[in-house]
Amino acid sequence: MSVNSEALVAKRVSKRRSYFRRTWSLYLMLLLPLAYFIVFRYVPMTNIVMVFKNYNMFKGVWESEWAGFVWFQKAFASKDFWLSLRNTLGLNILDLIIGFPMPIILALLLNEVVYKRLKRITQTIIYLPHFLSWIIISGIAFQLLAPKSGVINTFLINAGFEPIEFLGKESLWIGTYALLGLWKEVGWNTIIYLAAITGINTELYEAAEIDGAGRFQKVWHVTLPGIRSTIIILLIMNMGRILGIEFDRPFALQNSSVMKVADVISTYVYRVGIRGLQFSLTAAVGLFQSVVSLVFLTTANWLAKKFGERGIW
Amino acid sequence: MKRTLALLLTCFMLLTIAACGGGSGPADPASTKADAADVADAKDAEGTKEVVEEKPELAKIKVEVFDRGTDGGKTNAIDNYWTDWIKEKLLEDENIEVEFVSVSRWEEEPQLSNLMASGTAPDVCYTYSTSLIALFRDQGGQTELSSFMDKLTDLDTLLGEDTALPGRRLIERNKIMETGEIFSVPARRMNVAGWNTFIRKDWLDKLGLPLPETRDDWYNALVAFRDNAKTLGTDVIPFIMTDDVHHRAMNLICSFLNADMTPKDLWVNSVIDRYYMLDGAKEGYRYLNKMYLDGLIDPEFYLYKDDVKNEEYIKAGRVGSFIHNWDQAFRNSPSYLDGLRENVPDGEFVAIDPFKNSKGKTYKKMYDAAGLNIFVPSFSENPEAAVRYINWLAKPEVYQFLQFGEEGKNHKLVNGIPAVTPTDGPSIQNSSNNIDMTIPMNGLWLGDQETTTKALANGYTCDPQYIVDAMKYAMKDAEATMVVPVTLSAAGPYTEDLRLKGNDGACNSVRAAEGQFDKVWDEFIADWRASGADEIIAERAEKYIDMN
Repeated sequence: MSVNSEALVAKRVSKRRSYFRRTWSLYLMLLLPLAYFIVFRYVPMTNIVMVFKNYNMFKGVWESEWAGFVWFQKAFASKDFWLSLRNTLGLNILDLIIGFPMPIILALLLNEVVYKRLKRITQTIIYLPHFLSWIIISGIAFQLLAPKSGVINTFLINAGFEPIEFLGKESLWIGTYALLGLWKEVGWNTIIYLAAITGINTELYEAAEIDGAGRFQKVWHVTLPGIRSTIIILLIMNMGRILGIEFDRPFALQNSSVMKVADVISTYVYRVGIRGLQFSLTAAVGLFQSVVSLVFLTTANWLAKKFGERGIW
Repeated sequence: MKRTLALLLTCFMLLTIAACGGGSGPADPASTKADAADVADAKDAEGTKEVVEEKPELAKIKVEVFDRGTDGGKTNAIDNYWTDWIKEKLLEDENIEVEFVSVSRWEEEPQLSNLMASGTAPDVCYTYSTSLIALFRDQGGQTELSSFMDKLTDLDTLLGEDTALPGRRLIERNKIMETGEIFSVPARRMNVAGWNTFIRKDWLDKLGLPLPETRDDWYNALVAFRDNAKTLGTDVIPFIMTDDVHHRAMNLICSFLNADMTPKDLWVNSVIDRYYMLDGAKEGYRYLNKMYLDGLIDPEFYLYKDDVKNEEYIKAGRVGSFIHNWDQAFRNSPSYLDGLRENVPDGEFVAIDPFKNSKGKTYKKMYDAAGLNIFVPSFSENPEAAVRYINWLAKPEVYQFLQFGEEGKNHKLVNGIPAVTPTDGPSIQNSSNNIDMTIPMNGLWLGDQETTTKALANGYTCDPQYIVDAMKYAMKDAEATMVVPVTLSAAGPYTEDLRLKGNDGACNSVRAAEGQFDKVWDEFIADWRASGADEIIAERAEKYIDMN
């Protein structure tokens, strides 16, 4: 018995040794990306400590004096911070409601297109806006939607209607913001769903056909369940981003008259923190944002697992 | 196995080195630079000491220079005809080797902040931002200069008396009264003219209207432009501005300010140099609101974040009137008048001065004599040479060459007064009259005002009379921003936010719907005060000194 187990241990050890002998170079290669993450991601992260300090750019993060929670207090006491938090959440939730289901629907529709060439052309056309920067899109939006010189309003004025303030009225601006975002990203976001759809076993469709399923029933009972896990994962990742917001989109689209609904965390941080050289304040807001995002992400992941999905870890 | 170990060890070494590089602060590059400079100094000192006794030791400094972009056949900002001339002449005169560091004119504040924060800012820095100057000073980023004052005699001569603070020298403008310390020196603005109102004279002539002499005249002229759009060409915009209403309605707003305001009220409430809190400003904005509701202002003005659309419409001959820099309509760049005449051959803009306050004066603002501020960073290794460089630039033979260049090449003499001739060659000036290099002064200077004004008018492509009139109107009843010699700190972190919020609030007030103006304006002011203006006002009220 003991002889047997000793032999087993020896065998295991030699197995491990031979494993390392075979694969050490792969582990060595792993060191480089690891070094990258440590040097450029984790080491800079230590500077987060500036949120508890009175950052002085000439002394550096470590030499600056401690300030406790002053910057958090300052941020939380600021009306603009709460306003930008509200707007960030509002615009992101709106994006989620409009922008999340649309690519799925579009992918399902594209999948049903029989004429492959038309499918490919349509796909290409709807991807294209993704490659335009928000600065260009804001220029296009201006040309189209400006109250007097914009194409749409010129048309309305000439037809005898009142011009519509797409960019100047708060409620209409929100709609413009959401729809421009949809227009830009919807095509791009279908790619991942289309890829998932191609992964569905075609035998399932054949089986469904034999069982007498129609076109719509095939979509409902085969395609949608087939891409369910993809949908859930993307939803979780979107939840993680609910408090994070890109900078260029709101910044390029906002204007003087809609700041009450258009000022979001990223533009608030840029204006008050970076341009005002209050780096500690900026870092405090950023830290808050990251912590809340992490909570959202873990909650969404936990929920997904509860419902029997795989989650992202 | 050994080979593996060796490889692993090298990897870890690489890692630690990289980590050290990432972890250490701004002091690092400076210290290596210091070593290099020391070595160079030591070497040169050995070589030159015996040969030339009087000349100071060879010093090496870096100097900031604005880069305005490279379009229009401009040359490299840090390596061109003029920088070569400075390098050569400075080495000869002062035994200083200079290297230029470019900072974008349009992003100067963030770029300079980055250079300062990373400890790589040049030995001579300058900026137009007074909040940055105050912030660097408060955080200990500037070299104290009072002990160098005996080396700045030429600068002192050039800057002269402080016109805003009688009895004091302009060079001491930034002196901290309590301690006598000086952390930065101002440049002198040679031309302090501020804003003018321009109007299409050919349109007035066509409609049989005289040049407006009062605010109401002007208003009626704009109404006439609006009502006669068919005669004047389609799509008439009677008055145009941008979202920067404060500057683009400057003279109009000034005419509404309470003429009896005490100097203290004026100074204390001029938060970040905006007038929203001044008595009477609200009525000025109410007037603009009326203009907007009457269809006299371009309805898209709040969407313009720069002058691009303004320029397009003005040159296309669609704009009736605008308020801008005192000579904006006549500048060779962006050449509004020439551009207009390409489209409308008889088009003509003239400056007018119709906005009178309750005392009948066309009260308006002009600039303070102190322009940008120059400082030497605290981590500069050779502040003495940096100071000598600043002083050297203030010598007439230096700045006049930089401004006018060689006769026959860069200027010709008209009645003995130099007239700059545009050059395309390598000696093209990247900024008008090289103001980005002649940093102790902003604008031409030929020793006296009269000669300077004539030289100035010579520099425009249009009829010099336009310039003479424009100058006359811009300076009539104009007052410079009040200066009180105290050290302020509160505005620093709020300036940018307040500036943008001011633009937003002003735009919204001008665009307020019928009967909503008071509500929109009061909301704006309440928010502005809560966003830092109250704190700034409190500091100013506390530190105010009665100058009379």
